[in-house]
Amino acid sequence: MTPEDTNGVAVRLRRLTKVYGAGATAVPALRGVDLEIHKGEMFMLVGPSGSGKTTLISVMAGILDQTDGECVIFDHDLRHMRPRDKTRYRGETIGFVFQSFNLLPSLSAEENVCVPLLIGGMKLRDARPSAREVLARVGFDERMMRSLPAMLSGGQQQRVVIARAIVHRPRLIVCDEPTSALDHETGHKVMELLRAVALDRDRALVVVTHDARIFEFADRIAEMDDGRIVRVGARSATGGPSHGPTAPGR
Amino acid sequence: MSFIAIRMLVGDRAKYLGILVGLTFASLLITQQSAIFVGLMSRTFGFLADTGQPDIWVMDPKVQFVDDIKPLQDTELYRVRSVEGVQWAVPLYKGLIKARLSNGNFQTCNVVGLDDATLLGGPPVMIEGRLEDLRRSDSVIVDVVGANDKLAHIDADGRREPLRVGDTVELNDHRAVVVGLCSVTRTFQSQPVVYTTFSRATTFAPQERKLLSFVLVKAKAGVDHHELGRRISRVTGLAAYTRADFKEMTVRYFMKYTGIPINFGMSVVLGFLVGVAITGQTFHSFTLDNLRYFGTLKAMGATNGRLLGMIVLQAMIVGFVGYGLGVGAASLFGWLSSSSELAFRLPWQLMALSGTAVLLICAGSAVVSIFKVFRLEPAIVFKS
Repeated sequence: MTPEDTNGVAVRLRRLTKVYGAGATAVPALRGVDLEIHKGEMFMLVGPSGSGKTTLISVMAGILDQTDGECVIFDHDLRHMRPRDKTRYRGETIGFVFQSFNLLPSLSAEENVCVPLLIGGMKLRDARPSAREVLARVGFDERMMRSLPAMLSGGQQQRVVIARAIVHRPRLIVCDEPTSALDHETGHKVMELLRAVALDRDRALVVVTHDARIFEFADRIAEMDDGRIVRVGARSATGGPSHGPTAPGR
Repeated sequence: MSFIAIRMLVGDRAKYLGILVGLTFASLLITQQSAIFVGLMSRTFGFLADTGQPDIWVMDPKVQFVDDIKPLQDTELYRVRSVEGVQWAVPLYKGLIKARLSNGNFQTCNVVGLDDATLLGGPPVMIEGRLEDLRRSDSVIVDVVGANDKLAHIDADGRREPLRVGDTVELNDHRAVVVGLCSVTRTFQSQPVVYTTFSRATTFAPQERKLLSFVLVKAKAGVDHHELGRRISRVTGLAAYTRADFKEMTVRYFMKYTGIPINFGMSVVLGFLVGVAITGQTFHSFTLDNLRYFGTLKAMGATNGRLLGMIVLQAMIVGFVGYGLGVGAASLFGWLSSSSELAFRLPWQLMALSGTAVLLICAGSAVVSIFKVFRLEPAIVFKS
C-alpha cells in the first residue's frame, strides 16, 4: 500500500500562485501549483535554481503568504488564518530542517533541541528530558548533548536539527537541502536517520533537494520548473518504504 | 524564552562587552561630569549652607549672588530691627582681604565678620578651639583646609607647616592670632575662610565708607519668612531673601553668567552621544548578526511579542549592568577624590538622571532592533 491509500492528505495545494513585487517588476515564483502530499510520505521537490521549490515549501510551512490559490495543511486553510494564529499553528504543526542548520551558537545541542518546546510555552526544566530523549534517538551521548554547535561536525549538527524538528511532534516537517552541506556518506546517514526517526504514519516530510544521491529515500518526487510542477514520480506500490531510486515521472 | 535571550546576549562575548563598555562609559561620563558640576554649583552657595541660623538675608537690592558684596550703611541694621516680625537682626561682614604669608607671599582670604555680641553666623563645625575665643584680642578662626594648604608656612626647605592655633597671620597689615580651626564647605574660589568679629573685620578691611555686607534676620515664631522678607523690603528699600531663595539666586547667576553649565553640559551630552554611538551601533550590529536566529525562532512559531520581550530583556540586562558599573566607577572616583580639591557631589537625582539617560540609550537601541526583527520575513531561514 502506498501512504496515500491509507493515511489521507497532509498537504493540499490548488492553483497556488505566488508573485514577488508588483506591476512592471512583478516576478511570478509559483504559477498555479496543484499538489497533494500524503501522511506517512517522504516527498521530494527537485528542480533547478529559481524554479520555485523554496517558495513552495515556505508557503506550505506558513512562513510566506501565497498570492492566490489554496494551501490546506492538515485540514487547516492557512489563507484564512490570522497572522497570530498562523504563527501558533506553525509552532505546533511544522518542524524545520534547514540547509545551514540555524542552530543558536550559544546554546548547547540539548538546549537547541529544547527551543521548539520553549516556544510552545514549556519551561526549560520540563523541556530538557524530551530533548535528551530525542537526541538519544539520533545517537547523541551525554558529552555531545552538552556541546555547542561549533564543537560538532556538520553531520552531528544536522542530527541536532532533526532532533529539534521532531521534538515537539509536528505533523509536517519541511527540509531545505538537508544534505547539501554534508559529504555523501554523512548525507546518506542523515537521510536514513530522517526516515527512521521523523517519518511516521501521521506525519509527512517534504524535502527540497538538488542532491540526486538522496532521491532513493523519497516515496514520491516532484520536479519543478519555472514555478510549476512539471512531473511527479510516484513509487510503485510495493509496500513499505523503499530506499531504491525513484524515477520522476508524470 | 528569557533563557534563550540571555544566552544569545552573553554568548557573543565581544559584542556583549562592547555594549557594556559603551553603556559603562556613557553612565560614568554622565554621572561623573554631572556630579562635578553639582559639586561646583554647591560651592557657590556653600557659605549660605554653612550659615544656618538666620531665616532671612538682607542686602543691597543690586546684589546678584552671595559673593557680590555691595555694602550697606550701618544704620540699615537698626531699620531692619524695627520691622514688625523680626526676632533679631545682626550685622555680617563678608569680604576679601589679603593675608601676608611667612614666606612673603600674599593669599586672598574670605573674611567673615560676626556680630560681636552674639557671634551669630559662625562656622558650622569647630575642629579646634571654641567660637567664643573670638572675643580674645586680634583673634581669628581659620578653616582647616586653608590652614593646611594655602595659609601654611613654607620653610626654607620647601616643607609645608600647617597654620596652628596660636600662630599669627597678617591680614591687611593687621596682626591676627589664630584661636581656632573650623571646617566649612569649600568656597567656589577655594580661598581660605577666616572668621572674626564684625568690628575686627572692619578694621582688617580696607578703608570704605560702608562696611556692612548683610543683615542676618531671624523671624519671630509663626511669621511667614517670605512675607517678612517682603515687609523688610517695603520698609527699608533693601532686598530680603530667604536662605533658599538666596541660594537659588546665586546658582542662577553662575548658571547664567559663567560658562560652567555649557562646559559640563557638553561633557554630559558627549557622554550620552558616546553611549548612543557605541551601544546603539553595537546592539544594532548584535541584532543584525542574530537576525537569522530571530528569523529561525519566528519560523518555528515565536510571535513578535515574544521576540520583543527577548530584545527588551537583552536591552535591560546590558542597561542595568552598564549603569551599575558606570555609577559604581563614578562613585569610586568621588570617594577617591573626596580629600582633594575636586568638587564632587552625587545626590540621588543625578543617579536617576544617569539611569534615565542609559534607559533612553537602551530603549533607542532596542527600538531600532525591534523594528528590524518585526519586519523580518521568517522565510529568510531558507536562504543559505
